[in-house]
Amino acid sequence: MLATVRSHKKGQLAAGLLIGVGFGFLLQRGGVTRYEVVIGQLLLQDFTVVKIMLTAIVTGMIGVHALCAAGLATLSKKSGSVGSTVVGGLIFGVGFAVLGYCPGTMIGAVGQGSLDALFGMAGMLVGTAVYAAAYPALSGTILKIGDFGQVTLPELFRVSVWPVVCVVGACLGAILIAVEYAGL
Amino acid sequence: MGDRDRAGSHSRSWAVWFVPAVLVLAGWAVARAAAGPAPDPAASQAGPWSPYVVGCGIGILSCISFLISNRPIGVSTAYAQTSGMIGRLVVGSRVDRMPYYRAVKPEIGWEWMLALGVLLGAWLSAALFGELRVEAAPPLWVAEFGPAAARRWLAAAAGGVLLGVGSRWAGGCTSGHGISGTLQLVAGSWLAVACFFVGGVATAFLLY
Repeated sequence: MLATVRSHKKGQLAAGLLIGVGFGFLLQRGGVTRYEVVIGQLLLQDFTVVKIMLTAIVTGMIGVHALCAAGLATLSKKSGSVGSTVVGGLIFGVGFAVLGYCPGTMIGAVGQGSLDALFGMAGMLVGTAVYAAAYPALSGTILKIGDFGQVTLPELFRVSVWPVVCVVGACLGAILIAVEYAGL
Repeated sequence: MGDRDRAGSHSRSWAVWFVPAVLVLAGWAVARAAAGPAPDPAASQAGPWSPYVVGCGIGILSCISFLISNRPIGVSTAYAQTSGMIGRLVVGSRVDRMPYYRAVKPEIGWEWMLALGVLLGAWLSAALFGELRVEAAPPLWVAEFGPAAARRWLAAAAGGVLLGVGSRWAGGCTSGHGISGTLQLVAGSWLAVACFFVGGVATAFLLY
């Protein structure tokens, strides 16, 4: 059943579209397609972005690991290295603050009529092309520094998945309560 | 070879309805801008939903995505697919020989449809809740850096270039690493999202 659904090419494209519609709808409803909300988060004045992300992580973490345990899904892990994750992450962070949207929320911002996000999208297309051109020079050098592969937190600490799910869930829940308590 | 041809005509058939759709949207935007601000601002004060409701919804959506497509939600790949397709229009099949575009195929794939869906979903939400309005520059930017739209657009494009380079360099963005990677407990994704916010917070404090 699942295999049939997953191998149906047009059905999968339609599924991607519908999941995207849900994602865009929720991002706009949460207010994170607004420049002010993103900048407010980066200035540590408005914690809407963190609240949405952490709640999504806790909910999704429990659900996706349950699906995996039931044999209904497999994890899709990105590999990383210090040279790619840290350097790329910091470049991303600078762009995040200059633009005031992230790659997903800027598409949502265009949908609600924010014209500046359209220029962000154009810039991002240029940026990915620049990276693609630079990739051969980067892949054998800086991207290899400090390679840690696809390691997960349970593998890193040599424990099984569910205790980590519980600890991470409790920590993120505590952060959310602390943020709420601080009135942010 | 046959595969490549089929994929080519496939993306052209998408373009047949996608391009008119974009034109209609653009036409609507111009018409709205010409008509001035929304007539009843009081009706558009519905405000956002609780971030906890929205977060739960995104978490559930991630589960649905894994169940139906066995894929995590991630947006930045679609930009690479699109820049590759645009590149193919400009320099032809040279694009397909570039090592990066061999790994990330420039085609209308699942991620691309997801990104299109984000556009439609946000538009739907804004339309339903009276938040649809054409805005050249965000009010906070105008208050800090002045009303010149061109300055904001230039900064937005520059920020976008950095997001494009950074997201591909790090292998994901705020959705692919920040939500999907972290919820799978991938160590590198937690490191990536920490770097996103370290870079972002430092830059925001420098700017404001």
